[in-house]
Amino acid sequence: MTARTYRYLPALPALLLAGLGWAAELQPEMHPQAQQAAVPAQPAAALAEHEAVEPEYVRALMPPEGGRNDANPVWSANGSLIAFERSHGDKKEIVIARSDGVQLQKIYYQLAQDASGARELQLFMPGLIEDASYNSGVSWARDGRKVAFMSNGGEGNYDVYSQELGGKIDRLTDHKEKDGLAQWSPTADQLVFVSGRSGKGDAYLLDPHTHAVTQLTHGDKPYLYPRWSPDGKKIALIYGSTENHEIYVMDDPRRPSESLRALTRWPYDDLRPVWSPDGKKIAFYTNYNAAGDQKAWALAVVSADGSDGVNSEALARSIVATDVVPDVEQGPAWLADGRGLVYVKDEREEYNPIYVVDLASRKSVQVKTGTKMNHDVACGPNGLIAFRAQVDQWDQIFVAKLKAR
Amino acid sequence: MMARLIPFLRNTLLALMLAGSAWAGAEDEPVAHALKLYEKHHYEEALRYLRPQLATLNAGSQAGARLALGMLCLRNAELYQALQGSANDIALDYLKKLAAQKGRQSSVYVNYFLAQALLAEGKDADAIKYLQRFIAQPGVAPGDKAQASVALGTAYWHQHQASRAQATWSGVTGTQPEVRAALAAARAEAGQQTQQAAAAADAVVAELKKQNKGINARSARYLLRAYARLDMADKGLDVLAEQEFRGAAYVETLGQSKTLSFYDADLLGSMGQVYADAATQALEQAARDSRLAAMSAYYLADAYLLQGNAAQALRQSELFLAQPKLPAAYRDHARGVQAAAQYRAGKRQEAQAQWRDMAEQAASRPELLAELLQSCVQAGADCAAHAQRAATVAESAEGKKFFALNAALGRYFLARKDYAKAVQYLEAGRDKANKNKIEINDPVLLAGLAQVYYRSKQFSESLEIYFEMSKQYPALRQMQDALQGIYAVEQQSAGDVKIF
Amino acid sequence: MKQSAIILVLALSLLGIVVGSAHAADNRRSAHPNGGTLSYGEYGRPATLDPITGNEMISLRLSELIFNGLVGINERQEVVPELAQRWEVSRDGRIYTFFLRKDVTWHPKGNEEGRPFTASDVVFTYNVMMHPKTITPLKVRYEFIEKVEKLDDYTVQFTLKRPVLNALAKFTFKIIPKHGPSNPLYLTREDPFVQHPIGTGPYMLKGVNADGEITLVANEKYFKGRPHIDQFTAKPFADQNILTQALTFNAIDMIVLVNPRSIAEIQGDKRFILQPYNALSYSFFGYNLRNPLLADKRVRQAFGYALNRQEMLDAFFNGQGTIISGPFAPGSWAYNLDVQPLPFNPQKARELLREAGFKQGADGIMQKDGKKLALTLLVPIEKESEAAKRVVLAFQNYLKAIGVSIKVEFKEWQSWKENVFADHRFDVIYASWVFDDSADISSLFHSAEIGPWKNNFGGYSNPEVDALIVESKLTLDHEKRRTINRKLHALLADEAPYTFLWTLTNYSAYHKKVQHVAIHPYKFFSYADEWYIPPQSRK
Repeated sequence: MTARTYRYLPALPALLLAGLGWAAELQPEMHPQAQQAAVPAQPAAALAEHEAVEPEYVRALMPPEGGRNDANPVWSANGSLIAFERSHGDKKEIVIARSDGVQLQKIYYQLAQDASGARELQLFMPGLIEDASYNSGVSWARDGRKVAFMSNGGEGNYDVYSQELGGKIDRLTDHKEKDGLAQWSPTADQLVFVSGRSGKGDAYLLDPHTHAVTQLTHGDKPYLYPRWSPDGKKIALIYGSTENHEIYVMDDPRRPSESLRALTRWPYDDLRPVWSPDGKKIAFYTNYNAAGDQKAWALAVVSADGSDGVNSEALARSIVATDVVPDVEQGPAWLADGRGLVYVKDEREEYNPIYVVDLASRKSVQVKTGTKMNHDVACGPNGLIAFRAQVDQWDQIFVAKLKAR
Repeated sequence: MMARLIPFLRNTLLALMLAGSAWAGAEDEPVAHALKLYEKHHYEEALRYLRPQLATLNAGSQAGARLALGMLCLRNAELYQALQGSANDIALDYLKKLAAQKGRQSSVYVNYFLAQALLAEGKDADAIKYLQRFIAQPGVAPGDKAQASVALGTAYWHQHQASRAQATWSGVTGTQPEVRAALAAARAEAGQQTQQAAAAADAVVAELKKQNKGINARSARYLLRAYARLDMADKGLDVLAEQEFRGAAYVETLGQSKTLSFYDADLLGSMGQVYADAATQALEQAARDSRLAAMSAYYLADAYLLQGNAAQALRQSELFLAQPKLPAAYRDHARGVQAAAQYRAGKRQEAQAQWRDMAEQAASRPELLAELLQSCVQAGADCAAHAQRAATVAESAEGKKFFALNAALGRYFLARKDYAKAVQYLEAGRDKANKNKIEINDPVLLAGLAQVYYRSKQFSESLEIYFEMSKQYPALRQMQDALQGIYAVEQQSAGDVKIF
Repeated sequence: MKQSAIILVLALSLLGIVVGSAHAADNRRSAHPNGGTLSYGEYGRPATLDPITGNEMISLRLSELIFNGLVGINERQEVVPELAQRWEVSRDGRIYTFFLRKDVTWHPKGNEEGRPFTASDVVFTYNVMMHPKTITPLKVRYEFIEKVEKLDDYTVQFTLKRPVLNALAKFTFKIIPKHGPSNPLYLTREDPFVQHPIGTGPYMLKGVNADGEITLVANEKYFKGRPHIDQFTAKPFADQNILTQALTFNAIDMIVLVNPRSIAEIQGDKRFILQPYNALSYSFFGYNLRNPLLADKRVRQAFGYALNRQEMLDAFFNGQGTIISGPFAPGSWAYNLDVQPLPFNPQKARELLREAGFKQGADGIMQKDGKKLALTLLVPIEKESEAAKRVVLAFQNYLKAIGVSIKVEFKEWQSWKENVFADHRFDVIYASWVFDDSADISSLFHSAEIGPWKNNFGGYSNPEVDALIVESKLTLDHEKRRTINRKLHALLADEAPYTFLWTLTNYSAYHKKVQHVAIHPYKFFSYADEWYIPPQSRK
C-alpha cells in the first residue's frame, strides 16, 4: 500500500460474529472453490509508480459461473454476511452468503409459491409454472438477522417485504403503487422507503411490526433514495424529476416538513447520498464538470449540516474524485473509518478500475484487484470491499480486503 | 393452448391416477427430457429426440413415453394448423403478385405453384387455368409437366369430374419418384385406390432408401400429403424425421440475377394432419395403461377436437372431468373442451349452459374466462356477450395474471377476423420482455400475432416472429420467403441510415 | 386499398403508364377525449430542435411532433397525404407535382398570428437543406432531385435526375417555414431557429425550463385536427437507472428507449406497458481494410469464429435481440435466410489464421512476416457506455484466445467520427447502423462511397459487390432486387468487411393510462396525435 497517499486505520477487532447466534458457526473459512477462483495479486514492484495499492486478497465470492449476472452486494453490519442480487433472464433473486462464499439462502418470493402440488405429476402437466419474480434492493436490519427487500411476488406489484434469515417472509407494505428503496434504520426497528402512492415518489416511514406508514415528504417532484444517518436520527435523500436532482436532508423525521433542507442547489444532477460513518459528511454522485458533459460524473463530499455551503461555488469545491462511474443502486462506498471512499473510475481502457480516495489529501489511488468491468462497490468493516466484475462475459461478486497499515 | 397457466389453486393435492405409484423413475429420463423441451415449446426437437428412443425403453416406460409423444404431436398439430391459414394467404398474395409480372424474366413455375395454392383454397377453376398455362409452356421438364397433370386431375376431382380426373391421372407417365409420389398423394386425397396409393408411396420411400438417397424435398412433400390423407401417421412421422422442409420445392432461375423459390402451399396443413393423427394414436396407446388413462384422456379430448371428432372429444373430456381433485387450470381447460365438443356435436344448449356456468364462476378468475373464449374458438361459435365481458375484465386488468385472458381474446377476435382487436389483445397477451422467444411465448400466440401483423402490413414485425420461430420450425421458411417477397414490393422508405 | 394503389401506380408509371392521382385529404379525428399531459424521459438532451441540423434520435423524435412532411407513411406502410393533399407523377417518373393543402398555418411566432403554409416554404426547405453551408445528414439522400419549382402558392414541382423506385416515400422530409430561420440561405446550429422551431405539426414548442424540460403544447389549429393530449414534456436524464425509478415512481409517464438492464424490472410492474419496437438496426465490428493485416478475408472470418455472440447477447443484453449473419436486420425483406451466423469455433478461427500465414509468437500473439496481429479498436462513447465496454472487453478476450491483441481506445463521439470517417485512423470499430424502412446498404459497401465522410469507412472494395449494388439500384423488378440483395448478403457475410453481431430489440415503456399508443420504429412519435389519456386516469 502506498501509505503516503492512502492511510487506513488499524483493523477493527475480530469480526463481530459473537452475539450473532445464527451466524456464530460461520467462522471465516474460505470456500475451497472460491479460493481457486482468487485473482492473483499484481506484482508489487510497479505499484509506487502507478500510485496503486495492492489488496491483501481478491477473490470471487463464489466460483464464477455463466448464465447469470450478480450485482449489488450489501454487507451485514458486522461484515460476516453478504447479500446480493442474481439475475437469470427476467428472474431476479436475492442470495445471502457468508463472506467466505458459502451460500446460506436465496430469496425468490412468489405469492403463489405453494400452489404447485405433486411434483411427479407435473411432468405431464406442464403449464403449472411460476411466473418470473423480481426481488431486489436489500437492506440489512441492525441485528443482521433480517433483511428488507422489494419484490413483486411474481404478480406485478412492487412492495416491501422482510425476511428473518431462515424464517418466513413478511409483507410490510401492500399498495397498488410501487413501494421500494427501503432502508432499515441502523438504530431502531424502523424503515424508510419510497412509495408512488402519493402520485409520485415520496419518502415514508414504516413500522415493521404494525406495518403503519407515515408520509415524510410532499413534493411536487419525487424524493428518492432515502438514507438514514448512522445515528438513525436524520435522513438524506434526492429530490428532482430530470437531470437536476438535488440532495436534501431531513434533520428530524418527526418534523419532516419543517426539518427538510436542501444540501445542494445548483444546476447539476446530484444522486444517491450516503452518510459517512460518523454522520458528519455526505457523499454523492454529481455530474458537475468543467466541460459541461452531463454524462460525466464526479464524487462529492459535503458536510451534512450544510456548513460547506449549498451554492455552486461551494459545491464545486466539494468534488473529491472525477470520472466516476455512478452506481446509483449502490451509492458511494465509504471506508469504515470514514477517511475515504472506494469508487469505480471511468477509465474506459482499464475497464472501470476500482479506486480509493483519501479525503484529507483528495488523492485517489487504484486498488489493484485485477478484475475488469467493476461496479457496485460496497465497503464492509475491516477493510473488506465487495463489488461485481465481469468474468467470461458474466458478472460475478468479488470480495477484496484492503491492507491495514 | 396452455401458454401460461397461472397457478392459483393453493394446496390442491393432485389425486390423479398416479397416486401410490410414482411414475417417474431413472429409466424415464428420456421422457422427462422430452417434456422439458415441451415446456420450452420445442416440440419438434423433442420428437426428434424421443421417437428414436421408444424402441429401447422398457415396457414399464412405454405408456409414459407414448403420452409424452402424444402431447408433443398434439402441440405440433395445433401449431401447424394455426400456421396453415396464414401460410395460404401469404402464399396466394405473393404468387398472385408474381404471376401478374410480365416481361422477359417472368416466371413459368409461378403458374404451377399458384395453382397449387388455389387448389388448397378450393379455387379449382382458377387452378385449372394456371395448370393448363403451365403445361402449355415450352421448355418445362416432362417430370414437372407430369406433376402438373396430377394436380389438374385433382382439380377435376374437386369439381366432381371423377372420370376426367381418373383419365388425367391414368395418362400421367413418368417414373421419377416425385411423379409417383404426387400421384399417390392425389389418389390418397381423392380416396381412390388408397391401397395402391399407400403401396406406391411406400415403394417410393423404399426405392429412395435403397439408392441411399434421402427423401428429396419435392417427393417428401407429396409423400407427407399421401400419408396424411391415408391416416398413416407413423410413416408420416418417418418422412418428417427425414426432411425438415426448410428448402424450396423448386428454385427457378431467370437469368443471372433472378431466382425464385417455390413451396408447396399445402405442406403445413399436411404436417398438421400427420401430427394430429400421430397424437391420437400415441395417446390412445398411453390410455391403455390405467395409471395414465385419465391424463391421456385430457390430451385426447384436445386431439380429437382438433381432428373434428366431437363425439370422441366429448367422451374423453368427460372421462377426465370425472376424476376427483383436478388442478384447477386443467379442469378449466377440460370444461372448455367439453363445451366446444358439445357445441360441435350439435348439443348447443348444453355448450351454452356450460359457458354460462364458466362465466359465472369467472368473477375472480380471469383464467377461466380465457378458457371459455378458447372454447368458443374451438367450437367456432360466436360468443359476443362473453367476449364483451372478457374485454371489460381485460380492460381493467394488469400484469401477467391476465396474459392468458388477453391472449384468448386475441385468438377469439382473430377467429372472428376482427384483426384490429386481435392485434390489441394478442399484444397484451404477449410477454413483451421476451417478445419473440418461443420458449416464453406460446408459438400459437406468436403465429396469431404474425398473422395480424401481416394483415396490417407491419411486415417486419411479422418477419421477426417467423425468423425466431423458424429456428425451431424450419418449415416456416415458405412463409418467410413469400412474406419477404411481398414486403419488397410494398416497403416505403426515405432511405435513411444512421450510425451509432 | 386506394392509397396502396397509388403507390403501385408509381412503379407502373415508370413503364409509361399515365398517372394522375387525386387523394382525399386525411381528415381523420377519432372520438377519443382531449386533455391530459404526458411527460417522457430521454437519456440525454437534444442538440437542436429542428429537423435539418439535428443528427441524433432525441432531436428526430421531437421534430416528429413539431413538423410535417409533404407526405407521411402510415402504420400500414402506405404513403399518405400530409402537407400535400394530392400529387401527380409524370409518365417518365421524373416529375413529381404536389398540390398543397390550403388550410395549414405555421405555429405562431412570438405574438403574431400563425402564417399560412405555402409552396414557398417547400422550395425554401429544399434549398436550405441542399445549401453547401448547411450541415445536415439529409443532403446525401436528396441528391437524386434535380430541381424544385413553385408553380403557384399551393403547387410545387420536383424534377428528379432519374426515376427512382419508391421515390414518393422520400418526400417525407420535414418542411420548415421561410420566415423561420434568420438566415434566408442556409441553416446552422447558431441560428436561433434551431432552438425555437416553428412547425406545422400537432405540437408547438412552449418553452424549455431551467431543468432542461422541453414543453410542447397541442396545436389547436392542427390541420388533421387537434391532437388529444394537451401537453408533451420531454425530460432529460443523465443516469439510466434514475430514469427507470422516475417512471416506476410516477415522475414520468414514458421512457422512449428502455435500458436493457431495466427491462425485467419494468416488465415486473403491471402498471406499465413495455412496448417493443422494431428498429431495423444492427451492431457490428467493422474493419479497416487499408490495414494489410485485415486485407485478408481469412483473418476477418477468423474473428467471426472467435466470438461467442449468443453468450454476449445473453450476458450483456439479457438476450434481447437476434444474432444476424449479414448486413440486413432480420425483419427486413432483404435478409438472406439461407446464410447462417458463424458458429463460435475458436479452433476454426486459429486454423484460418494459420492458413493466412500467421504463426503464434513467443508472447502468444500471432504474427506474419515479423508483424504482430495487434490491432486498435475504436469505440464511440456516445452509446450507453457500460454495455459498450462490456462488449469490447469480451471482444478483446475472445480474440486474445486466438492470439490476436486488441488495444481498445474509447473516443468522444465527434472525435470518433473524425477518426473513422474522415481520417480512417483505426483498425476495428464497434458501432451500429440504424436504417429506416429501406434496407439500403449501398452507401455502406460500394467502393464509390470510400472517402472522407462517406459511409464505406473501412475502404471495402469489391467489383462484384459494386456491380450488384448498381444493378439493384437500377432494376425496377422487385424480385430481381431481392435476389441481388440475397447475393449481397451472402457475399458480404463471406467477405466479412464487418463481423455482424446482432439486432437488439428496442423497448419503450409507458403507463397504461396512455391509450392508443402506436410507435413508429424509427421516428417514434409519428402517430402521437392519436394517443389519448382517459379523463379518469389523469392525475
